[in-house]
Amino acid sequence: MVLILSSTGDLSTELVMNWLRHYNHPFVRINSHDLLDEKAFISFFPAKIKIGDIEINPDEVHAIWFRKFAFFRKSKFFKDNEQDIIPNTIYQLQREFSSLTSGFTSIFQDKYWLTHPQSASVNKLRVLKFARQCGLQVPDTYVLNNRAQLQELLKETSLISKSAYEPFFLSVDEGMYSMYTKEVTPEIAAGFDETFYPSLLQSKVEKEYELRIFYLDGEFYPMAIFSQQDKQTEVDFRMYNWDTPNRNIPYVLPEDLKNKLHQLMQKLNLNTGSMDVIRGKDGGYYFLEVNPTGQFGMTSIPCNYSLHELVAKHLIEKDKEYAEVY
Amino acid sequence: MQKFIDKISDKEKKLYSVNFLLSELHKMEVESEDLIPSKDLPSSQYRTHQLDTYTFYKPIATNLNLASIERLKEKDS
Repeated sequence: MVLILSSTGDLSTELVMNWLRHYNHPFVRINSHDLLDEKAFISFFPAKIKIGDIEINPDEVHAIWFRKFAFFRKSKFFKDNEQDIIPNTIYQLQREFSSLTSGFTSIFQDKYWLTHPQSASVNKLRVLKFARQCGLQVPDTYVLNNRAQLQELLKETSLISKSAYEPFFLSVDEGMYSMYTKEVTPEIAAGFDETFYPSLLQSKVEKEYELRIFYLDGEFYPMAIFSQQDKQTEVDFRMYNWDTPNRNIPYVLPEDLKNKLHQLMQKLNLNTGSMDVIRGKDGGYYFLEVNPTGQFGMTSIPCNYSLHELVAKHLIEKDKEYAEVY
Repeated sequence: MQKFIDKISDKEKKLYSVNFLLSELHKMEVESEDLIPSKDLPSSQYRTHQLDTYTFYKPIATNLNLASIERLKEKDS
């Protein structure tokens, strides 16, 4: 049986489930929020799980897809009780939840994992370091906290700013402050205070186009995004132009690049993930980042890769393989 | 488009990183798949609201609100 560890509302999970149904393969899904929102009983010794009305025998599970098994703040529990929980306890509850969900996965440690939980959280800067070690080109990367050194750097190179962790949305009455990759010009830098909070900055690569690459067990499914031709998306394609969307097409990666990316994924202990790469105007390929549980619908649909079916077939194959061997 | 840096006082500018300072104000837009408005009934089992393919995009991740920032402030007690 395939076990899917996910969150409510994840479309990719549902589409993969549809394919598992199509191939008539047994599976069960647990959403992280079920531990908060449903009746949950989990015994570690002996291993036994009951969530709501669903009973799961861990011995019958041989392949697990670790999708987005987190997000305390999106749970019904949190939404319903946010006003009642003592504010200072929220952070602790969140960490407790995170610890419980992470501990829960240890029940299945000897099974096949499509994204192992211990590899699911990657540090952007560490990944860039590994990428360099694998021979990939990456943009020059800096962490700065003062205007003087920023202005010095800007004399040598154009810079972009991005988050070291995850980008965010800041809700205010008028809308949302959204954090995208932005260019930092000398004029903008002049408006900063003498010092600022430590910030990640990278040399701006002059793009010909961007690549979004889905990786699954050694196979690559790349898509070229012609974000450069639209002012709105030229620095960050996620500044979507919904009226005139970027042109997205399937792409063939050079073998040398594939080998290096494959090495990187092995170094990171990742068997799947979505990678962002820039094809520079200088002809180079610049690796930006990898998201272990990133979206792949956005790559699958325009390129007709049928990635949800491929993920389902991969899980079925591994489930059968591990059932026989272990 | 209004930038965060223009909303805060000069004194506050040093408290934030560059990507915070350069974040821009957008009207309330789709922020994640499960918030996409749809006339379809949600899936009874998993509460997903929308399965149309055009809703796939790379979301930018965490939703922060002012209240949560307040909570992170250390307090003298």
